[in-house]
Amino acid sequence: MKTFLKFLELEYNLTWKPSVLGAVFGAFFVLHLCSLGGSKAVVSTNYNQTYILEALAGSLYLPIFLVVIISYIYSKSIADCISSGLMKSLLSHPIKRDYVLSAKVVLNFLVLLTACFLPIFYAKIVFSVDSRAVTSVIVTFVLKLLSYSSLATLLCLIMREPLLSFAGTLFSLYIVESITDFFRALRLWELANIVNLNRLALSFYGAFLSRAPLRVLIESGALYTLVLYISFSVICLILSLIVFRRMDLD
Amino acid sequence: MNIRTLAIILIACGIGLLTAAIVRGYFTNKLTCVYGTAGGATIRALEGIWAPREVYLNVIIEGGEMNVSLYCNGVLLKKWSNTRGFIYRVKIEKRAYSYLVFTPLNPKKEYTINLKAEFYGIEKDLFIHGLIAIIVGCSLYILNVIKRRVLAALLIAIILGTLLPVPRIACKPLWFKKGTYAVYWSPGVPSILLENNTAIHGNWTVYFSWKYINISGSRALLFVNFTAVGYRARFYGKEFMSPSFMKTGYIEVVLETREVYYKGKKVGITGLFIWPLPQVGKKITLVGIYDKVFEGVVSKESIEASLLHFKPQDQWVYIVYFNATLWTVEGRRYSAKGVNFYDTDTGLLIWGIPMPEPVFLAVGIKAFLWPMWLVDTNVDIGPPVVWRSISLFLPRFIGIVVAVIPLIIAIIVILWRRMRLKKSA
Repeated sequence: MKTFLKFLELEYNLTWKPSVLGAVFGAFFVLHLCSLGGSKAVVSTNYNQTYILEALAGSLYLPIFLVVIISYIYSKSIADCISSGLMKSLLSHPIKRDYVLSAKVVLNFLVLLTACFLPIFYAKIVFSVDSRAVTSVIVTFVLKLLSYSSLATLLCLIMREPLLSFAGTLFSLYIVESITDFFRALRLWELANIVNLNRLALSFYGAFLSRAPLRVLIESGALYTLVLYISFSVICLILSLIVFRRMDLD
Repeated sequence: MNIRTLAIILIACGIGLLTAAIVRGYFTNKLTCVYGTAGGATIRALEGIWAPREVYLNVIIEGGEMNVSLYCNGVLLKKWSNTRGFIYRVKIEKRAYSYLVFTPLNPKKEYTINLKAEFYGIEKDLFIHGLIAIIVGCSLYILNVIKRRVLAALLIAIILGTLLPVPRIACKPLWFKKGTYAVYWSPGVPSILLENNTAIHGNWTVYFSWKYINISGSRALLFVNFTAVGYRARFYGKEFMSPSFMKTGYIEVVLETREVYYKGKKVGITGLFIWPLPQVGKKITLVGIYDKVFEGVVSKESIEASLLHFKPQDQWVYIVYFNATLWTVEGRRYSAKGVNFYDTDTGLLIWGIPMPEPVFLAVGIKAFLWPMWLVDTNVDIGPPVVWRSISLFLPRFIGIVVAVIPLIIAIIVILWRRMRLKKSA
């Protein structure tokens, strides 16, 4: 455990330069607060659903920034580490290979999650948003970060070269971000609803308000979305571990 | 997480908050609502948590008079009794639960309420939270790296010090800044003289407001709003309902000389403020329109609070006496004899007769010979009081202390470590 924590600290010093850390936290604050247009005048009692929509998709810059920053962080943390030979020296420590990769993924995920959470908590306190609406937004962000992080990890391990992995991850995450609109354009409404992560937040909020939350989640199709993204994340993480174990770093 | 990381996160969040506050404050949020009520039912409008910004309210009530109250955080901010409409600007200091309550006076009537609300300006809480986060983050960062970054601490102290306000010497009124506004109220106006020298007769409550928008060269651009709420009137034995109307426009004023320019042409000298502040007993140009100029004689007196609508306190004012023959309109000769009251600190018109006023030309009006009261402004008028001087000084004092404290702590830490090193050596 101590070794794992030391690796977390090492990974933090390697990947998260002060400028990057500051830029990520500052940008998340700006983008989240600027998205909340409804709070600029009068926040009425039925603001919560509007808050959910605004927090997740109020400003297009937020999803774009999320995709870019995840691609940059994971390409720097994994691909750059492999190509520069640093991964080889990390693996020379008496620690399992899986733990090295896990430390990278866990740390980057936690830092990004903290950067997402801070403005959400701030908005909850200042704008008096309902806790259930905030929880719905947080759950959606956790799922989004988890699935994007796991996909980014896998792609960076496959591509290995920093610039290529950044571009490839960026492109792939952009496809995942746009997949809902893609299915809508093809008039595949059911599929579009299932892959729509933003709709999941509204369903969660409805479930929180309802006396039969599970029934609401099933009827709205949100349960399928939840299972889909969790499965996708788990599969990507398992594949990442397999690829990393078999990787020849000599 | 070490202190340096925490400091960086705090500074980043602070900058993010400041940026968000500025971007959010750049846009004015306009809300337009129409409410109907019948059977004497009370209506609550714009109920919710109001952002701590400046709010411009424009209400027109059709169907009769109502009592209107504005509540903010459970406190009655303003009440209008027996009104058919109003314009009001209010600064919401705190993000709190607020609403307007409309109470009909006649339960048998049906009312329609047209409400326009504009929220503008920066949200104070976001801005202040951002500043606090930056200051705390900077202090933490300086304390953490003080051994190697004494120069950085000095630089930050200097930067924070330069943020303090510095008194300036200027030839124009210092209170005239971007965002400065004043609202005047005049009940029972019987006639309004238009720019084309025709007069309309009726019975209005007039709300006139101006706001300093921008400066271009030496001319300040003012946004002018003239709202007339109509009531029943009797003119030459005929009874009729005066039409309500609202007009807005832009006009330029040279602050040093009070010259008014409309569409690039000089149209007069405004009487909405006097500058420079006059000497008692002297004759000054009170107001001018086109080539006609009207003068007045200045005196200075303290007048009772009951004569004023803005501040409930006895007020020192400049009193400008005038006696002018104005013009002949539709065969009637108009002249004006009376007084205007001006604040002794700023020269702003507190009470007076706009007999004419060239700023009105922005909305196609020349004059209305009826007194108007200053009812709202963000100009600090009134004689300075001891507590006010202290409250003005206190932010600067706190600013200096906040800027200097990290530096003082840094110097103490360095000296203490040097002493320890010398002792151990």
